[in-house]
Amino acid sequence: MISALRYEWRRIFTIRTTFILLACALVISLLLGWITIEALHAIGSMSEGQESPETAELAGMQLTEMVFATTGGVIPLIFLGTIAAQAFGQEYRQGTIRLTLTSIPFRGRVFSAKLIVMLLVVAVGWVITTILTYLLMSVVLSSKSGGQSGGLELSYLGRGLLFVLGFCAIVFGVTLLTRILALGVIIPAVFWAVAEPLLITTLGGSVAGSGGTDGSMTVEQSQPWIAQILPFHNGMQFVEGTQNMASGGLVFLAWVVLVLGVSWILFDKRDA
Amino acid sequence: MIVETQGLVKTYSGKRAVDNLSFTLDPGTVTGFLGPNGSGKSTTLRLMLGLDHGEGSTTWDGKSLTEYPHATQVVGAHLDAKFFNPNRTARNHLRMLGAESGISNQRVDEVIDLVGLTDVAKKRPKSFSLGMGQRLGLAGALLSEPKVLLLDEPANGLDPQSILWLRDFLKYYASLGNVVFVSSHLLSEMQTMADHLVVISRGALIADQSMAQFVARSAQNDVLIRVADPAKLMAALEDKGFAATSEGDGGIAVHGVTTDQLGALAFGAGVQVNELRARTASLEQAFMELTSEGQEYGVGGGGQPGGQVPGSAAPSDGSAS
Repeated sequence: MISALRYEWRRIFTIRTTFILLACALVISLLLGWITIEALHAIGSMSEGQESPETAELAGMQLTEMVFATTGGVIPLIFLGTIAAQAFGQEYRQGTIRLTLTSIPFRGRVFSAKLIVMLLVVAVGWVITTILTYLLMSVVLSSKSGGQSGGLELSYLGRGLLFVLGFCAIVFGVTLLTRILALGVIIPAVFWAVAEPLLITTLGGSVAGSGGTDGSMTVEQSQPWIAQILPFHNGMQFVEGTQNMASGGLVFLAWVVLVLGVSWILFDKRDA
Repeated sequence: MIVETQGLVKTYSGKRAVDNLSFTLDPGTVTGFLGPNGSGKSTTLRLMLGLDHGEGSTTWDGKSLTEYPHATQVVGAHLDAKFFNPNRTARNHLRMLGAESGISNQRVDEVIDLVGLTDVAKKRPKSFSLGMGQRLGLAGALLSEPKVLLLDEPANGLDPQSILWLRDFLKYYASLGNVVFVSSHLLSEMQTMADHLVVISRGALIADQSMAQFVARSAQNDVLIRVADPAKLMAALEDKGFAATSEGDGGIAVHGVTTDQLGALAFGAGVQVNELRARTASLEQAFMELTSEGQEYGVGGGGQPGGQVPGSAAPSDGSAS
């Protein structure tokens, strides 16, 4: 297993794409973080007859949630998800999967090594991105409001990290199912950002409210039946720590396990 | 190391691409793997490596590949000249392949030098020619100095000098006691490179024998005799039951006879012999004859792999006797 991990580590770090994707996730997150603070400041400045409303408004928002909405949103996760998709997508596209499986004729080890290394790289990349985004947002927020910004809520970000890893694991699995890198990223991203909100709206009623950036709902809203089984909606409930946090986390985990399980079975059964 | 495949079968949509294929690869030998396009050569190689799922088994010194701690030290495979990431440098490609068994960077550089890619080692292979891709693939196969080399069309795209180098190198590698199994469409090269042949058609084995035995199966193998009195010799040949064809200018082509036998027969008939030589078919001629008839041909030696073809003459060295 160690040799399989070493192989995968060498594979992922001998192409520039990995570094470019990590850099893109970081730059996009920083940019979104900066734009978020500037936008909130601009909204506050436009309010008339109030003294520095932006300060109160920003203070009223959890900085941690803003940071997660920035680094854990669809756009940064598309870049991190592409790293996940490359684990198998690139290998099938270029035929190198045959070299890999000739070198390591144990499909279980190849699958596990790819999953572990991918999760490690994504975790480290996301944590660094989140810390730097937090620092930038704190600095900008302090310069705008003149006050101290709030601290990070680590438990929230810990759940956020698990969600990010789960999302990337789903991308990893979908790529293995389709053997097409682009589909591996697009299907989960579109499902999360477009299909789930539409499904909830059309099948379960309104989703209006103070949902997250992904269209997830707050605890005050009733849960339509469809919402109880959707992966990313439940994943966001888990991250946000709503009263459905536990069930949301379990549903999300079940989806991750299901996608990984099916992808593993097909990887083991199909020809390389 | 001895490689044994037993009963390999691969079926696509009800059609057998590989049909109960069994053969043995011996150490110290370059074995050519021949077959028409679509005959199942690449599929067979993938089945041997466990890349494709099918029936049958392949053992490497009696063991499955998964029983070895480092498969790359057992078998090095080169399956396609384009199996690389175009954005990973040639050197990094080999470092990646070597990571599994802890191959040093020094060894990577040695292999790069061996295949003549030193000048482009740090370049990304997206601009590589087919020949350079072949060299990179070969380097990957050689990296761990495996006991067995499986090469699928390694000479495609190589220039004549590189083909010559490849031929010499593979013969040298086999002479070290390794197994070399090469599929190729370049039959003239295969004739000079391979000691043994495995030939398949429509997924089924039609020959598993030495190069000389395989070529001897051709109907174009005969003995040419040029005599002063061809009519007299023709009559003597008919008496003995040999199939003979007149070629003019006193020449007669005789099938199923050795130069020794024919010389003695001419002497017995009292005919003056002006020329006597065996004419051996090329590998290409033999291959075309045998594969054009597909599965109707049985395995040489009464269906036993490696056996002598019934009724065929002993391989001739082409010299007059």
